[in-house]
Amino acid sequence: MSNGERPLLIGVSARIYTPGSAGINVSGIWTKNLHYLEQSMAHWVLSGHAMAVMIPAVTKDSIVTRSDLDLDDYAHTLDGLVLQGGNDVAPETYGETPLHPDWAGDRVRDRYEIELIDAFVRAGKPVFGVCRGLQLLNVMFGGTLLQDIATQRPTSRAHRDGSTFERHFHGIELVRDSRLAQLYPGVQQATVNSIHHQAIKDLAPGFVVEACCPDDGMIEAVRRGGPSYVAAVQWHPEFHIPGDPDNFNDAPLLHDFLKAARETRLQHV
Amino acid sequence: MTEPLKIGVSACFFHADAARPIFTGKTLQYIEQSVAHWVAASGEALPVMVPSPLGDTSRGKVTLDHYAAWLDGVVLMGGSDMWPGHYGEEPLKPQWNGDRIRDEYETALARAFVAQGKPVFGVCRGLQVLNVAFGGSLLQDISMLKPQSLTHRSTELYDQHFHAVELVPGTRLAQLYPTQSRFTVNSVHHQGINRLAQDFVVEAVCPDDEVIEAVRWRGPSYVAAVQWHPEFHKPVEHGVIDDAPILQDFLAAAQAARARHEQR
Repeated sequence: MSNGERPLLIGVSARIYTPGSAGINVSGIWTKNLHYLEQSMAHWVLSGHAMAVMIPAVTKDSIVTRSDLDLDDYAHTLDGLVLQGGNDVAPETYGETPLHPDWAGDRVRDRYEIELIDAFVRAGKPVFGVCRGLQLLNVMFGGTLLQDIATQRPTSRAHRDGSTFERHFHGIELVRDSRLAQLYPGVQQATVNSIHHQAIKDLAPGFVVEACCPDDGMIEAVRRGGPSYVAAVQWHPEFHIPGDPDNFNDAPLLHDFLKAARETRLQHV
Repeated sequence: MTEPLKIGVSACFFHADAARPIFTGKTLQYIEQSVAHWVAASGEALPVMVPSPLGDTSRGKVTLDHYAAWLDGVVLMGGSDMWPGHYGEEPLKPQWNGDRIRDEYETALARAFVAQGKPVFGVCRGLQVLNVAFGGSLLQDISMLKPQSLTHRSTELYDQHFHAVELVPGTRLAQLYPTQSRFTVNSVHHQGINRLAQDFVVEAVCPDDEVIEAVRWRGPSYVAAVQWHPEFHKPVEHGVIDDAPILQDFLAAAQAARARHEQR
């Protein structure tokens, strides 16, 4: 197998478990820092004939660092980055304080993922964000978030349902002429899952909205203008059931991202 | 600047559990941060977790062979027990059923790397998986099956439980430590090697009870493993063995494998 034939290499950012974060005394494995992903996220990337690998978390100012681990090396070696969903972005990251202790977010993961995104963008490699990934990209490039949709936009529709989790859906409208809309010719409306209680408040400068929820105008997909590929969706493509006509078909979205990854790889060869 | 080595780390599983209050029904794959940092501490290697491509959400045609073709070596992490069926036994207790899915994933991962002549290093459970994959068997529970043995796992002390190991003279492991043969290691396992795989050599034992603590394959590529957790302690902490020579030796094998593949 020559190097040119290998599948694309896509890094997936880690979710981070820190002992004590659950607020209870723990033993055994629970005394360790764990980095994890949802299997379905890896499998979604694999479905595009790309190799998914999880990038371990470390930040330059991490107290646990006992290494020369350099996120630039990952950006250099891999062809693209996918940001997993997960915890809230810490309000401090966009200049606010938490309105409620439950919305304090995950500063450690924010710092790690921001360094990771920065490394990939500087290397000219594409970045795709899922759910929290969309929120973090918006914050990193100068936008802000609603800390809690239900509290701050009480007239909005429900964007999360704790009892149905990824089986909770609503409609989206694709913004005409956006790159996303071009991937779905003839499609203006679609149905996606919805598992988030935070959302974009102020859009980052230089970002364009590619989809929104027609019921309340909530932003559901964004893309950063300019030469590098930075795009994100508020839903979870990895939870949509392939072939189910009631689920959005995320394959064109994945292939568009992977096409960008392939192009940057060819430039780097 | 030379490219850093790309080292895969095998995933551990939290299998889908309908009773779990979070991630209900979802399978999670994880690594311990300390393993990634241990590999990266060399300054020569980029660790990545290799997700299992199998499972109920499996899609596409990427296999572990693709990963083995791209990566330069793999580390099998510690974790759950093996399913005794994989070495021809019935579980003696239900809590020793082990993790059959992870066994199959890691066995396939190890085989993919061995097939391409790339090094495999096992930690704790990783040693046990390799021994079984190469035809050996395990003690399902050391304290039940070898009651005179030393305690090899303390629930209370967890990674703060230590004992001695003696390196076997003349082995590659002993050559990595030319001035000393007895060391202290952590010990966080209740299973151990029963029947050694046919082509394996023992490189270290616990002097108190002869439990096997390190092994290596005699075959053409690098397959080695230790029963302790090199990633849990900084060298000199608790007087434990400095595992850097072991990591360096593994990475040198990865470097050599990469050079061979680049020549092709």
